[in-house]
Amino acid sequence: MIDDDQLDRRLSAQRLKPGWASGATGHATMTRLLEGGTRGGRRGWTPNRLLAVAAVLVLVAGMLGVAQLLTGTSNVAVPRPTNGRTVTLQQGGVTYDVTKLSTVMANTDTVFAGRVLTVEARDEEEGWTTYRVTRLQTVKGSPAAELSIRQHGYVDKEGTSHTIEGQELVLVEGTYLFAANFEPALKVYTVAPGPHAAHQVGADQIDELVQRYRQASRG
Amino acid sequence: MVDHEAADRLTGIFRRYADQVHAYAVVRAGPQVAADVVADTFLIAWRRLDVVPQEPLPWLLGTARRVSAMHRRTRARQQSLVDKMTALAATAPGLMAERDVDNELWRALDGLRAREREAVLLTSWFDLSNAEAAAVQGCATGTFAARLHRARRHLRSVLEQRDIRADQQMPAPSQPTRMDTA
Repeated sequence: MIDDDQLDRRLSAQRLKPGWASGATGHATMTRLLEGGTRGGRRGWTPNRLLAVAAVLVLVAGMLGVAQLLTGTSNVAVPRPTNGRTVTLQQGGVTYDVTKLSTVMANTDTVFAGRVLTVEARDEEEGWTTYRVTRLQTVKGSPAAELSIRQHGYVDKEGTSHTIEGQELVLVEGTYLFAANFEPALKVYTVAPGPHAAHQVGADQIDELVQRYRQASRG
Repeated sequence: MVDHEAADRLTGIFRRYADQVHAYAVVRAGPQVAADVVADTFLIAWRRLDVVPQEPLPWLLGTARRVSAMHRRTRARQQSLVDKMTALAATAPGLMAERDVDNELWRALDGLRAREREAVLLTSWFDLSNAEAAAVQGCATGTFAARLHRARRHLRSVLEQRDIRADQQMPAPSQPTRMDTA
């Protein structure tokens, strides 16, 4: 058995020894900074830097063009078609019953009905997809008329869906009741775990479901 | 603040924290680009010295994190942690001797999700509190605490599995000989 102390000792033993900053590379880095860096200003436009910026601009323009062709919108990330396969992502640390609506309401700061406009970003390394959503009705909190909301899970390049247990990935153009928490550091809402936190709803059911969520939020 | 005061402050921050930012950059981006990451991080600090907090380490690591992401896109993205640490030991033995690299531990860390791995290192290497480390990762403290707990559990489990496998591969102890028992 490896206990916490043993783990801490092994991790601490791998700390790098000090000395980089006072060594030749560190010293040169600091000198360059003070001599060359213009405080509050921008670095000079060298030919290489201009070329790099031009290349990035062309790349971004190309991506925008492709996205526009595929989606008819002007967004960078493109929704991916799925191949029907699903992989369940590991998720831990949830300390409440995600299947109980009133508990989900008590553990989220923002609840609203919204329509998913597009995929805004996808981070496969961290396992998130961020969507742009237009708010239709508010149950709780004060979400903006249009906002970014991220959900744990993503569709990979092969079309396989990676999802957390008990929650499907939201679909572009779908309408959902979202229960989420705002992450001020990232300026994004995060969908809570469980089936109630991203509940797909037909246009004619929104009022009824909003009412149900409101009642649940009142306990 | 006049410029020489700013320069003094930056120099002080660099002397005190550059080693830690460098260590973070080695793990995040690899030893080949770590110096570039440190330079870019402190260049941002220099330009934005007015927003660098009095306790700057979480801010510096958060900035290095974003800078590393840019560097990782272009280089060494696939390099494993064992490779990174071995490469560091080969080129900078003063920071980490080759014989000291704990390959099993780095392999186990490699098996964690990126944020989990970082959560472990932020708290164990840099002694950040959960709140400070959460600021580096841009998440709520509770989210970070759950992530760290999960990461340490996974890490212990993987290391235990490896220990068990290593034990199974060890030859059985030989029977005592007459001399042993004499």
